[in-house]
Amino acid sequence: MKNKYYLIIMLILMSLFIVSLKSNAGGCEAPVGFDRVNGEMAWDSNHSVEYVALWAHWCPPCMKELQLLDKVAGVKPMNVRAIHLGNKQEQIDKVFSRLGIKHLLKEYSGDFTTLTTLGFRGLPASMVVVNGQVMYRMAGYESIDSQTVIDFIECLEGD
Amino acid sequence: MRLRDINAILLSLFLVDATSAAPLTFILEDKTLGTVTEENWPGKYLLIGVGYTSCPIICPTTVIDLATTVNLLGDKKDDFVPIFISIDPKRDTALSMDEYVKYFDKNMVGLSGTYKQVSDAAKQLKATFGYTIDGGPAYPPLPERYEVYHSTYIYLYGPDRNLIDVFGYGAGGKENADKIREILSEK
Repeated sequence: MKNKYYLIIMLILMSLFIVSLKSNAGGCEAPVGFDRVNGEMAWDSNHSVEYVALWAHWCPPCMKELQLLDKVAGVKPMNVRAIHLGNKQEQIDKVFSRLGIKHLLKEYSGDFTTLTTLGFRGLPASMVVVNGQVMYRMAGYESIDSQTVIDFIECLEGD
Repeated sequence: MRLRDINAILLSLFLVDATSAAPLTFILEDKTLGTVTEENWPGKYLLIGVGYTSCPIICPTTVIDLATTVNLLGDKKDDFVPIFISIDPKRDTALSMDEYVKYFDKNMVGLSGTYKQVSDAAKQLKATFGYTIDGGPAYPPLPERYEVYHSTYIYLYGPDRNLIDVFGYGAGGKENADKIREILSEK
């Protein structure tokens, strides 16, 4: 009888521990290059979890990230946004055509102060926004596997 | 002592050294004007940054700071010429520099030149730059693959081409413009 109660208590404690892990976004492993921030900055997002990348047509590493984001958007179209800094529709069209981008919407922000307001000092500038708060940031881009990003987004959605 | 305090001290030392220097001179190439020197914009202040366009991982936004600084000067903006000089002449031509800077502001000037011309200009500015391959130093003639590094200050020169002030990277256009307005009000 004593052992039965002991087992029940252990199971309850283990459940609580697992719930606390999953409810902490730190339980979702962010892709390499992303830093966890404290969520003090708000971002007007359309979905509970969004990967938002700010880019420009003159920025070579931005091109690589666009290709990653297009792959992710092919699976999670509601969770990815690529926003060009500057109203340059012709350049945006050329880049999308050249890179064969199929799944991303063509969005732009006309205002460079967006970058400095967010505290970024270079491009590409990427954020993962959870429930309207910036929770992860990455400055620059080298290489990330698209499945890693998809898994990360799905983990955050599950929290 | 915070990093910002150390940066301020280093900038002050730089200014003490730079103010005793001769006026700025350079010979560089502009897409429209051809060969240009410091005499091409008589009576104007020059706001100068150096960099390059083929960034591998992250692209600094010095040019954004240059453009926004000048645009925030209001009725004084026409007294200033924002100039971005490439220290990667192998990849950046006068044409490509012009296309690059005009994306940010139609009044921006993008300059390039030969390696000697950009080196001399950087030396005049007391800007540092260089090239690396796999972490080791590299020198012209450069192969296809190399990385570029450079200092990231923005330099303000007066119509007499004497150095007035130096702004740190990341200060932002508003902070730079506020400082410039303060400088102008003291004249």
